[in-house]
Amino acid sequence: MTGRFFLRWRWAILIALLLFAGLAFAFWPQPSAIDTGKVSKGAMEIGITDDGVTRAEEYYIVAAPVTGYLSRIELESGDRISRGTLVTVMRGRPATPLDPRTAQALRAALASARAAESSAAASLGQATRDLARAQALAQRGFLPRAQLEGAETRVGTSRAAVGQARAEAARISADLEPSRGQIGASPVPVRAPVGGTVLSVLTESEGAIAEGTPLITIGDPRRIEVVVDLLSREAVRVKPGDRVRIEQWGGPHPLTGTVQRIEPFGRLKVSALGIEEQRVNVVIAFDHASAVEGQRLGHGYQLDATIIVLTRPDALRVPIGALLRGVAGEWRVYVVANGRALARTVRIGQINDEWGEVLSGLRAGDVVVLNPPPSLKDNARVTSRTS
Amino acid sequence: MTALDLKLMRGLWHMRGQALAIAVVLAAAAATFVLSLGVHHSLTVTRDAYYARNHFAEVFAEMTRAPRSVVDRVRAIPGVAAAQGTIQQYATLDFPDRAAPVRALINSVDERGRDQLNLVVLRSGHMPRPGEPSEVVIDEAFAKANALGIGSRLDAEIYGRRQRLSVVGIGLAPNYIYALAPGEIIPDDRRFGVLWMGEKALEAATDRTGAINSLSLTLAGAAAQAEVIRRVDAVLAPYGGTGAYGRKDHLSHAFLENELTQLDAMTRVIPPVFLLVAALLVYVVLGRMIRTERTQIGLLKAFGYTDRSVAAHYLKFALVIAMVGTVLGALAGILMGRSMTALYAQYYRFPFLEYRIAPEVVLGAAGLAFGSAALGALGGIRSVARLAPAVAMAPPPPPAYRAGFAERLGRTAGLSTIGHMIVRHIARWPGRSAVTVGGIALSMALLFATLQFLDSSRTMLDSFFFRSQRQDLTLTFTEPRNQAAIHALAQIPGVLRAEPLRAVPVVLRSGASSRRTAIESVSSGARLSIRIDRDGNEVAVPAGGLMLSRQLANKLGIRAGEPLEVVQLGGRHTRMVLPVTRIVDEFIGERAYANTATVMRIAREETPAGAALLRVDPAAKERILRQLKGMPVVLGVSERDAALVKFEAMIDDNIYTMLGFYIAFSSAIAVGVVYNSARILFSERAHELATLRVLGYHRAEVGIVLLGELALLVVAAVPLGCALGYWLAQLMTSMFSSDLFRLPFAPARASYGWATVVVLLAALTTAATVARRVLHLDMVRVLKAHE
Repeated sequence: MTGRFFLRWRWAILIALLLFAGLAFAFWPQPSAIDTGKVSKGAMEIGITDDGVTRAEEYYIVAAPVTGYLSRIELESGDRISRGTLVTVMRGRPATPLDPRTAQALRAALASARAAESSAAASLGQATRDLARAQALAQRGFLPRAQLEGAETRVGTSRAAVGQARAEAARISADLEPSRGQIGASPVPVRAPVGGTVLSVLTESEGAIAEGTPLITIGDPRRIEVVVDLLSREAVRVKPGDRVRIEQWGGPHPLTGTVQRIEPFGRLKVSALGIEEQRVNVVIAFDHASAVEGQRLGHGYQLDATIIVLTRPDALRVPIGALLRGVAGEWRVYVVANGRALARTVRIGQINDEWGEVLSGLRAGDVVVLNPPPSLKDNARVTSRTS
Repeated sequence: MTALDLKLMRGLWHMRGQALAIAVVLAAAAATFVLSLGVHHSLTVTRDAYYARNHFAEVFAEMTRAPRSVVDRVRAIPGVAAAQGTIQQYATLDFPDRAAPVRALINSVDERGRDQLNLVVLRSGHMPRPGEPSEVVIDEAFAKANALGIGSRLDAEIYGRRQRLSVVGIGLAPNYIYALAPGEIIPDDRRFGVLWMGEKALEAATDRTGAINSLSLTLAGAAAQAEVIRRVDAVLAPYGGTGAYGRKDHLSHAFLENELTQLDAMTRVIPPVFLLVAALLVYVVLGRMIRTERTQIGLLKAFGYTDRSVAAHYLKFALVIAMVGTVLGALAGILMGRSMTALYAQYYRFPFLEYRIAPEVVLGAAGLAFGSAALGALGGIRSVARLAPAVAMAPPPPPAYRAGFAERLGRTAGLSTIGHMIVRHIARWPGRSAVTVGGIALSMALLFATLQFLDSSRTMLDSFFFRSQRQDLTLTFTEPRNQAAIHALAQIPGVLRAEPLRAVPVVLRSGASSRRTAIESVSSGARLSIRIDRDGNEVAVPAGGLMLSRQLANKLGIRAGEPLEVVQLGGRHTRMVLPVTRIVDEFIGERAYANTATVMRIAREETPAGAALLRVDPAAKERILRQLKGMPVVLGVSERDAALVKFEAMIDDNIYTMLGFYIAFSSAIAVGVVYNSARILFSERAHELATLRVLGYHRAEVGIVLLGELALLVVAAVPLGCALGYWLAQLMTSMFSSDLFRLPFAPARASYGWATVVVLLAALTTAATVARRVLHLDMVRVLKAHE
């Protein structure tokens, strides 16, 4: 019966089957195209990147030893100098010109001094004459010794008074002398305390300067270090000896260095994002190999330093684009297996800007969905765009 | 009422099912036409009315800071009708209960109401009053989204100073129909609002006493915009002017214009195809329907009716159907158009909405409907009317059923008698069979071609738009920052990766043509934003020179390898010549890219971070958002997921709703065509089927003869429909592509399936009604020929 039915309807059944096959083909779930990445084994570094500046390791500021008149410094920044090289000489300042009132006063004072001198000279004459008389009397034995000595003293005192009055007049007349801007003699030499290169000439031109004014800075540009001011909470993660990669310094290849010290003193600074925060200086030394290439860097050059606080030479890594958070806050990834995306919970250790370290849940070579679209469901059919 | 008119009524009633099916096909086509043209027309009319009433300016310019006296100088430029200087200032508003910062763009308004341009429409409350520096008017959408009303207080940080504002009015203005925060892809009313504040108050708040930073003006009559712009630029250059621009570069206007262009593209492509396909189908179906009236036409002629009056009779028959179709279609189109326009209007801040239908739209639809119906009717009559009444009255002579190809095929295949009958009938009437198959296939093709627009836009979103955005957060800075800002962001716990993004506004010039655009910087190691070309491949930005999108390159008439003059707008006004090193085929927009170093060379500064893209640990997102909110240099933050959800919602509301209507209409057409084809088949064969019954065949067997043929024809139409659909879809997609907007051609297999399912369902339901008729076939009545 059924055989006859099938025989009778075979064409209709065939056509219907064809139609169903077509529809099944059309509605068969189609894989959605996704981007994929691979779980791989390899080196993974956790770094802190911030901008830093170079500075000469040894850095000397030569300052004016005295207040006075600086001769022009002929050194140029970049000049090599040795210890004791004469940087400049300093002399006395030229006198300040007199204003009329002071001049008037000085002239009056001079007249008064001259008058005092005349008065003193007169006193001296009197004293000299008194002494001559006293001596004559004393020779004849009519005068006590004490009186003679008194007369001698008066002559000495008067002479000194004349000298004083004359000197006072000379002083005042010197003050009255019109200022012609001459510089004093007896220069004070300023010498380089150390050999090195002139990094900068801070005060180049001649002129009067105060004691302690910085003149030039000396350092050795071949011996430079990098200072990065890190957020204090980041600085805590850094320890001396950490490797540093220096980028964006202008050269084609990154330079390398090591952390020398972390200063124990934090300062308040307004960050690039406009918030106040505590920052700590971290000092980095260039590696020997990089020092040659880093020659082109001077003092105070800007660069980006990445301090590597953690290195996993052979970590199992998954691209961060694949990481999602599940409802309970656990990390999840979609693993592509047999053309399907399977959600899998993973444990992630360290994360940097490229990879997450897989502690468990994935194997090397696993293919994961990168940047999974929100519409992606567990066990959905997928196809990789890249392959 | 003449006898013929009576017959017309009876004929219509007799064939009400079929007549209605044809009317539905015509109605669906007319409705699409009326709907889409109506929506586009209404939105354009509304926009233009709004612009005119509120004096939307025609030329705009921004500058760093200029004395207010510059407005008078600009007003004195020949061709300038009115000019107005204002202050525009971005500010952040503090909503303590929210993690993400809320941004506002504050505009100054004259406290004494002397503004001339871009006038604010007040919904409620009043404008800021003189001497009340804290009074602001906020925009309606922002007020609604944040449940703010008159009397609400806002804590704002304006120009680095905290200020408490009180809302005294709610309004909207024609220059913010589409209000998009910088760095956003979609308006977010919760996070971005437009505020209007008194001029004196804003001057004081932003240290701009007697100064402005924005200028808008209207042109007098036939003034040449380019010339006015050139002169305005000359006036503003010393004040850090960033180049004046016309409406087409005005953010709000450009977005609206873009939407209208897309809508227009849809309107220009889909409804005409609908109307043409429907007209073709009606022509064919109606013609065949009238041919089944053969005996009656003969009878009428035998009664002495002239050919002309018989033709007029059937023409009337067709026109009644066309009329019903047009009226139904126009009504449906107007109703749907009205709701559709209202839906669109949600996304645009219009103070009123004018729904208008141009009468020529309805007339055009009616014309096509009537024309196709009339042509179909005349075509049907012509062949019949040629016959002598006696011949026509007799049933059509059966074709010679010799042993032909079909019989040999049937014998080889070992068909049953009924199978034989089906195959032979199809083979003997190849014309009729082809028309049935073709009609069904065409309606299916139309359905498929509209369905695939969904696939197309889905692909556009998934494979291009969403895929190119890989960041979790995008934050915009108040002004471009240096790399240190990016380092600082990367050090926030929970931030996995931070990348800078910068766009430098420029004018690109090549020969006589120039375009205002922004060059986007792309750093070599960028991972969070990628550019995808039309083939779905990632495109790397060349190491030097510029990369332009094909649209932009075509506008500039430039090829790869040729030099292009780049003039920076604002900043240092640098001017340099850069080579175009690559041209990339993209789906959206006119864009220019260069690598970061090149962009910095144009800007002459080291500030690559106008915005930053962040990839964050989702668990830390909330905390990071709160941290970002406290940063004075951060203007705003947008979350990718939230933005994409909003974007999809907008696409769903606008494009998908429209497509939904189209799909419903094309389904209706498919159902109408299938139904009619089946009914005609039945009418044509009723005589033969009755004869078979007389010969002793069972009802079921007779039913199978008819339904088998119908099934075979429908099944044959499916692959043809798929092929035709593919071709039609390709045609429509290429017609759809404009300079601004292109769609990928990516039909999903399921769309073929759905089109097939709709046709099969239509066929099944039709088959059920036809089968009922076959089962109750009144042999005597059929064989007698009615009337």
